[in-house]
Amino acid sequence: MNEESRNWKKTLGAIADSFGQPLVAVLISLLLGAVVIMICGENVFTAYGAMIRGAFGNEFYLNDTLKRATPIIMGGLAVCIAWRSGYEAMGGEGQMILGAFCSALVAYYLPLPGFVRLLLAMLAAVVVGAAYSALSAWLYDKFEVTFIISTLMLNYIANYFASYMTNFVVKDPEALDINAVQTGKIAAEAQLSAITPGSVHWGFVLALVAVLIAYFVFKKTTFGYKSRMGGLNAKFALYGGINARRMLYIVLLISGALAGLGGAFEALGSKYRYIDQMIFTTGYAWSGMVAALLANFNPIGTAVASILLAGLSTGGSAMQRSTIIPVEVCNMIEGIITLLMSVKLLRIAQRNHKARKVLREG
Amino acid sequence: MKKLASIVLALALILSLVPASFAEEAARIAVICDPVGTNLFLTQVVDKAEELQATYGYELSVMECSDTDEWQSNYRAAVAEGYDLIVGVGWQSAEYANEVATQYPDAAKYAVIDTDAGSDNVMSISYNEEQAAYLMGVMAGNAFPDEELYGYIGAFDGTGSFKYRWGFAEGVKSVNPDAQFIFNFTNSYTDTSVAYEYAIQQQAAGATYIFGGAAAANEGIFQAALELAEAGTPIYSIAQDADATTPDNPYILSAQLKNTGVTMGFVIESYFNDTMTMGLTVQDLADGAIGATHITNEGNYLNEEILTPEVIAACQAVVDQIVSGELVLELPDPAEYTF
Repeated sequence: MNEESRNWKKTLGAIADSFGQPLVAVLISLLLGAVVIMICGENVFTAYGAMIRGAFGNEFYLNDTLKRATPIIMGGLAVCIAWRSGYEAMGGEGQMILGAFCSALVAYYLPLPGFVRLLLAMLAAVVVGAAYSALSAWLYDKFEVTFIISTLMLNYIANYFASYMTNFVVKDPEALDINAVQTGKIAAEAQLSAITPGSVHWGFVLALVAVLIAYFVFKKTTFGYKSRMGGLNAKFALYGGINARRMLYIVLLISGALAGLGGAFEALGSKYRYIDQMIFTTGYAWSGMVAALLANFNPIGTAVASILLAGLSTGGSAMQRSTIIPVEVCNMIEGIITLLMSVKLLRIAQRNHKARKVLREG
Repeated sequence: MKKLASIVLALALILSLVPASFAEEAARIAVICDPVGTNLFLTQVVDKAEELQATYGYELSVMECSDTDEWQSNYRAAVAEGYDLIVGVGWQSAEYANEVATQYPDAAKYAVIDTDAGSDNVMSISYNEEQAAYLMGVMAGNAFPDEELYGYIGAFDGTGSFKYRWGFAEGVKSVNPDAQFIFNFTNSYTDTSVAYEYAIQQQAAGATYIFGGAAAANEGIFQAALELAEAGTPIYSIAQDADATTPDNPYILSAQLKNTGVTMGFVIESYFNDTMTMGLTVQDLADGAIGATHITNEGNYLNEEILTPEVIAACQAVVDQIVSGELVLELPDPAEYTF
């Protein structure tokens, strides 16, 4: 085999690696979904047609999909920044929960003008999300607690904490139904309003702005380069004079802030309160992680993938409404994508683990 | 030319996916709820809605919501897709029913079951479950008067299920004032294995009667009861929502009934008869929407050794007191109540 053809093969391999795997994952998932649809006794084209129409078919459905995509984009960005820097943090869910919860409380309780309350609510989400993320950074820095474990466990703590508070401390005083486990409804002037009546809320626009900023920072700034180096080759980064410890905290603070803000968008723009389990059952942070993995941690790609994944959910509901296919099948398709993508996740985690081992042992 | 042809073909393919317009005159009813699965609370509603289709000839869509966000989406979509009657089941429906009924009061008729939407455009029906839970407590107290400890396995802790715990505890205390209680929660409506483990532990802690308040997860308690009986230390329990008594498992004494099917039938009938009463209606023992197997309703199997005629008579006396208004059960503030 000559040099040229070997190079060709290498390039093709690299392309296949970055685009091939996500595409294959999605295709296999849809094919497996088709098999299940056929077993259910429904026409595959009718079912998938209903799904596509229900996700992007008209203005109403599109706005619904974009609304659902908003926290997923933020969760995806949070994963992008942490993972491309070599920290496989999975705490987006916990940070998002605390962000949503705190912003809902600030926007509901603070006796200030609506707009100020709205800004403070988003600020609170940023601070809380960043602080919660910093906790796992500190655990790693101090005790070398693996990120996967610390962040996953912190997710549960956040969810049960918010659940307890919503049940017993800050439960909606105006709720007519004692079963309604939620905080009070945020007044209209402190909500993230819709861009035009009936459309998606401003949180979506802010999320897109965050995407563009992230893209710029990753591509054009020394910070973007330095943080990326840590992920690509930790030893080289150290050799090049990059303070890994400082980078660890900065990266995870930003990641947590983004996830927290994503939770705030959902609470302030969509639900207008914190409802028990509202981030947990929807799995926004996990969809965001899948989106980031699908896009190879490219912010713009992550946003596109987030909208597609959100469409899978909203389209799935539509498919369930108009065909005999149960909603579980759609959840299954998303689950299969996640499963197939997690192969990649394992490889990244292994690589990072090896890199750090080399660093520690010199 | 080729390009044009391919565009036309692609368009034809897309359009063929769009079903023919909804030309038929039949009414369209949407039921919005949690995933139905084996949840009796919901299967009763869906079964009734399917059963009445033969009578009224409507088109039915059951919109199952697998997460918080889908509740909001499905409600808005049901209005946008032009359903005539939109029935939400469960507390999550209150907020969104109120929202769409305020924005689009004439787009459809709205009803919610087991909650209060707080709107004059929505027919809200809720239940006084504490009355049936109280009956379960009275039954447990009379059947096991010498017990020190009564077990309770629920799905979720929290204020939402407080009326079950409170009703049960008050019922037991009305017979056995010194009763102590042990509470455990499965944190799931379906996790039978956790319910099983709790049942074993509560028996070991000294409970012979365990209130089954964990929906479908109650099966775990019933399984534990069968196994503990074989080991010579039987426990007794009750089911939720619909009768589950059976000669195959005599340790299921009764069921705390909440017949959401009756309510669904009521909603559909009043829609077609144009007699929907907007605002809140509370259904209780007197309406027959809630009750207790062997006391207010017939059951499949009666364990006469435990539920003696005296026990049943004592419970029925309490029913009479509640229905006549002689005994009024008023829920206290959960934060200030100690079991």
